Amino acid sequence: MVTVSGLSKRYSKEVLKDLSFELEEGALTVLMGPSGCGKTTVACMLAGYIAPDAGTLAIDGRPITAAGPDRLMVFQETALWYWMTVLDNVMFGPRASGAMSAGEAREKALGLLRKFGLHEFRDKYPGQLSGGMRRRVELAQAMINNPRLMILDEPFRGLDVMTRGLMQEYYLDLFAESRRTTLFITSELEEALVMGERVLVMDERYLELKRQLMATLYLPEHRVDGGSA
Amino acid sequence: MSGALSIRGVSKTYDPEGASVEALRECSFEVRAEEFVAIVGPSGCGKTTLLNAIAGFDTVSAGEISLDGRLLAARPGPDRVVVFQHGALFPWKTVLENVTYGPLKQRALSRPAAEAKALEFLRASGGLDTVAASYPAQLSSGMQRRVEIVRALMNDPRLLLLDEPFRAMDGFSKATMHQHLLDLHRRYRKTVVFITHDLDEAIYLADTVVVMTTRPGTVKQIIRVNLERPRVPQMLYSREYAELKKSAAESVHEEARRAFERGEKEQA
Amino acid sequence: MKHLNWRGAVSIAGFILLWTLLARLKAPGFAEIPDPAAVGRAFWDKYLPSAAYWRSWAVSFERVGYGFLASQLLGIPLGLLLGTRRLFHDVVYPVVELLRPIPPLAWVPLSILFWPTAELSIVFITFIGPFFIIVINVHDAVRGARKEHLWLARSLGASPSYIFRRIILPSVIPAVAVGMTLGIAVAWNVVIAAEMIASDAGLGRLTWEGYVSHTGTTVLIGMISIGLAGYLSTLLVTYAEKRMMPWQR
Repeated sequence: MVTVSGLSKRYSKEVLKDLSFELEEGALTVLMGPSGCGKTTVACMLAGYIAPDAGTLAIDGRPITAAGPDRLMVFQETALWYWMTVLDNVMFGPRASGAMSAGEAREKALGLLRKFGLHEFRDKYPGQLSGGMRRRVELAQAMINNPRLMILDEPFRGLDVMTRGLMQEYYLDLFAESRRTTLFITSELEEALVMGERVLVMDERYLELKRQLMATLYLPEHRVDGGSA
Repeated sequence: MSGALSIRGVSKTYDPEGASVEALRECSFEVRAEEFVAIVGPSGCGKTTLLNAIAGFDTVSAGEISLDGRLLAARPGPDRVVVFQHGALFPWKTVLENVTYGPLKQRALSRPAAEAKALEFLRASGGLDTVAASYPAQLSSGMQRRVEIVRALMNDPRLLLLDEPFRAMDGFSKATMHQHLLDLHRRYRKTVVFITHDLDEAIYLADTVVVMTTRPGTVKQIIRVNLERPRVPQMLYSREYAELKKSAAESVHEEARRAFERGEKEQA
Repeated sequence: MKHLNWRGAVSIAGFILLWTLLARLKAPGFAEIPDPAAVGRAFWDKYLPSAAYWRSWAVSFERVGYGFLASQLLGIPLGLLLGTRRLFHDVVYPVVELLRPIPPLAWVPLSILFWPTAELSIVFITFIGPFFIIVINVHDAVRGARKEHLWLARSLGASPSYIFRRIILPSVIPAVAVGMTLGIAVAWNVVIAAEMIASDAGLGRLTWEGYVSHTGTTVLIGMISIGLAGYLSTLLVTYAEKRMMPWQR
């Protein structure tokens, strides 16, 4: 269980103010909000990259103070290391921490790549892959470390509509298999509804805006149906 | 001069240094004058190749493309104008200068006539005449794209070619852009070829949706969209719309998955 | 490609023809400039078999080689230190910024006074140009490293030294490549000028001697040799860069 309470952060202006929420164990929670509302800041705090000015974050009761292998964040822009092959990118975790021998890490990485349909691309460099494949390499890179918490910060943003839909399915399948606690961040209502079991909305004004959209888009359905059919 | 486009048996094979890539194979379809056609397909299906061939930026390996019965030459002309995904407005010219550039360059109109026409078109595109003196960088990306469409229309082309013009936009702006585009199409009745990844967008905008397969690109399915015009957002939730979408969704999804698994690169 | 080569050949033939015409007609300014045939003949008869000529090549290449190599060997670590160590940066960087705008050739007199031999002073001047370029390039690359690249490594459990070796070092390679390309060009610029001023050997000296002795053919052979030498070393550097960056096919 992940607990966040009373988070505040100020750069040149106030980004977060007294934000609190909980992530349930084994659930996929969506955090939705407009761009610039501080979603990424929250994600970076959970990952341990940024410290809040006030408030606390804890995972299973242990406070989060630094980056750790129990949490993994997938960034908006790919963070794959472009100078390493796909295989080297994926086996980085266990090699860096010394958790596995080179041979073990390689075997495990190859297994994951096979599962993600990337086996034949193992010796390619990230720059040679499509956006959808890069996202899958990042998932494999995360999974090899078996983190307790996955943080996905608008991971499918740059993808085209088709690939995006497929990646959403992909992650949902993966999630269904492991039920790894996940925080999925997005600015799109549609994506939030597709992905989330629970949707946290970060800004009241934003919620109002989206309510209006729902009203104009969804309600007239019945009218049109009744009128023209 | 009406803009009926005919694509017959068009194939295209690229041969960069020996490794031949078949981008298009035997594509055929007809576009009536003033029709709005959307071409849907996954990354790497050759949509852009086809569009480039129609625009005259590229040649075809086999087959023919003709406009109003005349075979199209493999060079761009003012009768076919392309609006790209990434803006191509001149950043050092104002909106008005950008929009009047074509007709003035071709000496098709006098400056006062071109400016009057430009202002009329800009006004019709959601009141853009108010930003006529601004530079492109001062406008939002949605406005820039609308200016580009106006610039294309100013040349009075027979064919308007749109290569995923709204791809990078968020849902709100996209929906607004759709209404503007539909409005312009209703007003000026140009034949439109619109390329997209997005099946919803394709059905909502077009009279005909052409679904393409992944490489080599072939025509997989042609769907006639008989939703009435003018199109309004409520139609997105109508039964007809849902049925149209259902009839295409499966084949589109199948091709998308194939491209996805093969790792086709998305165009940046 | 064939098309291009054909046009290239025509272009070069045209250039040589124009040069021949101007030289034969003694056009203004061309009075002392020999035509290409004379240059070719002199090269074939006097320079190709001459050990002294080839020694000029060897001497210049050696100077560029040592100066350039030293600039990379010292400059890359210095750039890395400046980029990664806060304290070191604050103490040393102002000096770098102070010395960097001084053109390498301005170092000639000081260098001659400082170094015991002329050879060392020329190598030093050749070193100066590429050195500051590579230091600044590497420094900026370290500072500009994407924080997500470092964060991700930390989350995956990498120690600071592991991150330095596997993330920071490779991420500056593109900047090193740019620095090398710029640096090798500067090294040749500088070595030729330095040889003209302060040496009795090398391709720069050869060209200068041609001028002093009013031998137009020597001047031209010197110039062409220098151009060729620069081109060859650029090829070497480009090859090295390709090997350094296998991800850029």
